[in-house]
Amino acid sequence: MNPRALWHQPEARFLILFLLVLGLSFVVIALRPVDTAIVTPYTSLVARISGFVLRLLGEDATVNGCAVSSPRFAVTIHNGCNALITSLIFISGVLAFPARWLAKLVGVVGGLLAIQLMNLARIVSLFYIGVFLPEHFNDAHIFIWQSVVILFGISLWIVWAHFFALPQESS
Amino acid sequence: MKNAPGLFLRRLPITFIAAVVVWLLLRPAVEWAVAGLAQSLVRSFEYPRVTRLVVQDHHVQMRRTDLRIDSTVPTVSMTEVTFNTIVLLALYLALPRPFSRPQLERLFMGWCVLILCQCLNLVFHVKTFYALGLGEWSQHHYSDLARNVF
Repeated sequence: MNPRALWHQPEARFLILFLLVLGLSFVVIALRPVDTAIVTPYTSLVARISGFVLRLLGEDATVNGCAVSSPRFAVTIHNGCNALITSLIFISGVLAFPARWLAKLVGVVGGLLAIQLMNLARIVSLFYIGVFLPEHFNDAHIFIWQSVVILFGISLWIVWAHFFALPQESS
Repeated sequence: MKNAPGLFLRRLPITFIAAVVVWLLLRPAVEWAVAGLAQSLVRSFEYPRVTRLVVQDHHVQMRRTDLRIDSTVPTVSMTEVTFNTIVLLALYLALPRPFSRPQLERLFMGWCVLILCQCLNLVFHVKTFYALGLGEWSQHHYSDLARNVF
């Protein structure tokens, strides 16, 4: 197959760009200096915001690094739980899609905020699942919420592509 | 087709529940297939062939025939490896006419790619354990570069 012809197919070009951006971003966040300088502080920030929300909800929550604890339950936010991977999948999709740069900017900023809000809801709900239904915590953590967050990121991308990136039909 | 994304997104919550049910039903078979394929892949690059991946209670046990009988057996959660089947099925079922022949063919192809990815994920779990988790043995058999890669 001719690579040049492949590149001129929009679907193939999107897929190639998407995988390139995604692969590159995954490699970058796996580097130890990036992890120390960006990923860990970012995860701590997510933990602090989650602790703040839990205190708003009346929990006696304290935050130590990436751990949010209260007398009732404690959660530690690891690298995979900070929504960074979903955000990178979403950003890769936005950057790879043929759209104006303004639309891409709107997508990246809006999408990141929405994904973070979703992740915050996830962490808070997992905290309460840990309090009230601890036997279901692992299932909720691993396969329910992870799937929901990924599907949310994909849905967000579809909404962005449909309403912001693709040319709208005139009435 | 104008409102296809809207219809797709409205279907998604229901298809997510359906996908969870299907995944729970198929989980043992998927875990068996992924572990079997991963074991073949690991063993095809090792001499002597000592790795055995045994699925038990939704975890895969990394057994080596050259380890002592009383050694601790490391495990990997298969739920973390195969849960993304739910995402594939939820997205697929939300598409128009999911049970038509062309769509089922696409599902088959997509699922094959996903199982291959899950298998590679499990292989990396095993190799990461071998490269980093076995102390001096790891340092002797894996270079610095290999340990960093894994």
